Amino acid sequence: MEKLLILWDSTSIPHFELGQIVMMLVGFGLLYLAIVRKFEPLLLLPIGFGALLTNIPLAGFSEAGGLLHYIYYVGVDTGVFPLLIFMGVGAMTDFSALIANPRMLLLGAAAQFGIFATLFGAILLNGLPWFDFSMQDASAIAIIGGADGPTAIFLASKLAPELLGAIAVAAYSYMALVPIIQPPIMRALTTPEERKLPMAQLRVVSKKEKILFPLAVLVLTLIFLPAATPLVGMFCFGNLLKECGVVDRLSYTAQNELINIVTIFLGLGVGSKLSADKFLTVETLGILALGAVAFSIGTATGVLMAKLMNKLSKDNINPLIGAAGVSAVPMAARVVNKVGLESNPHNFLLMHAMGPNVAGVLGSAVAAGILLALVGP
Amino acid sequence: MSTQMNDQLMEAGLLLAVGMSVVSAFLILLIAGIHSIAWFCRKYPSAEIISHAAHTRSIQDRTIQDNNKSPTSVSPQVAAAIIAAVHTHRHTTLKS
Repeated sequence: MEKLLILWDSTSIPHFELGQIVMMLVGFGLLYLAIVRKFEPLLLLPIGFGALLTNIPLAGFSEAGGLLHYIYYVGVDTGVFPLLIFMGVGAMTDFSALIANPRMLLLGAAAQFGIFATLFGAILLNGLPWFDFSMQDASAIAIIGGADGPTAIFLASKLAPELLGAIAVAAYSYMALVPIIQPPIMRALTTPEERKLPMAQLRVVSKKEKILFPLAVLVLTLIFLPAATPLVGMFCFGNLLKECGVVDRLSYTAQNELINIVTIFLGLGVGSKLSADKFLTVETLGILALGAVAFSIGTATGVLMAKLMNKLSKDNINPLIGAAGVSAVPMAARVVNKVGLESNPHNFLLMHAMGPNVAGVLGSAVAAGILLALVGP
Repeated sequence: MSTQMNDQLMEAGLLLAVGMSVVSAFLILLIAGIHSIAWFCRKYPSAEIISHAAHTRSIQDRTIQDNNKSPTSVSPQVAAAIIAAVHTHRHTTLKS
């Protein structure tokens, strides 16, 4: 009998707590979204599985000495994994559309309004008894509006590591929900005539311009905003690997093997933060709500800025492309193209939307640098 | 509203003003930078671009010559028929 009791005690069953079971269900939910609904599967799958592993009683995955503990502290807590991801994203990004039409950077700037406006929302929530967000917490939550996963994880790991799990899940969930969140806002703020506007074909960009572009971005960043250099610098490095044409092997590795390996570890590391005591709080609901607000405001201000630019410019600017300023590459650009085609089946806006889309990546990295410089530890 | 929240809202307002100003200023500087790069590349085109332009011109010249000589070159009527067929195909595909 004693042996049976020992055996029973060595199983997970008597050690399960309600919170762990709920978090495992959350993990299964993320796996469902990734596998069945194809929502950001590259990250939601490892995050969901990490959530399962970290909530297994007695396994100690996230305790000192556990695998997920090391993965988190080596890669996420130090900020290394998001930066390596940013290098890979840089190596996969083609800036031609932006270089051909640099005014699109203004759309990338306008869409960052969602980030800074959400700071007010986070502070106002403190009026409710369940919330007590500091300015650092508010900044880490607001960056969800940048719709850039690595940036959100990087900033959250620096400003509010205890909120990292909720922030990462919210950021990737909203990025996956771009096709649902953005179109109603885009339609509400534009007229059918505006949505039909065709845009002039973009000029061809020379290889020399593509090589000089990441170097120019880096120089501007290191002079004016050194706090943003980790994100922007790695992004520019990856892009230079791609564009210079002399290190194809390195570029290929950054775009494929390296980013894939880091994505696996980043997802598991973030998933390890989905423990019941950190995630099953009212604060998580607040973070999810604020993330949606940030994302919606960013979309709206991008569209409104594009409308203004269209009024002031002699060339047509379809206001829909402003929605792509929130980053979420390339999903936001695809959504712009789809909504544009609904109004005018011959109007392909994809390449035009890629300009503000990559401008949004730069804009959110710069915004993260500003927040880090102003409210950082 | 507590004094602490008032202070935090003031700080958020300041962050909004400073943040948006800096992001905009940075990206406007980058616009100027991109224009400068484009100007530089137009003024000092690389050998690759010059040779590419020359190559493209020679291909165009050869194509014009071939079109004048070749009896199998596509006539404007055939080209118009192809364009009409492609247009009809796209139209029906989009509708379905």
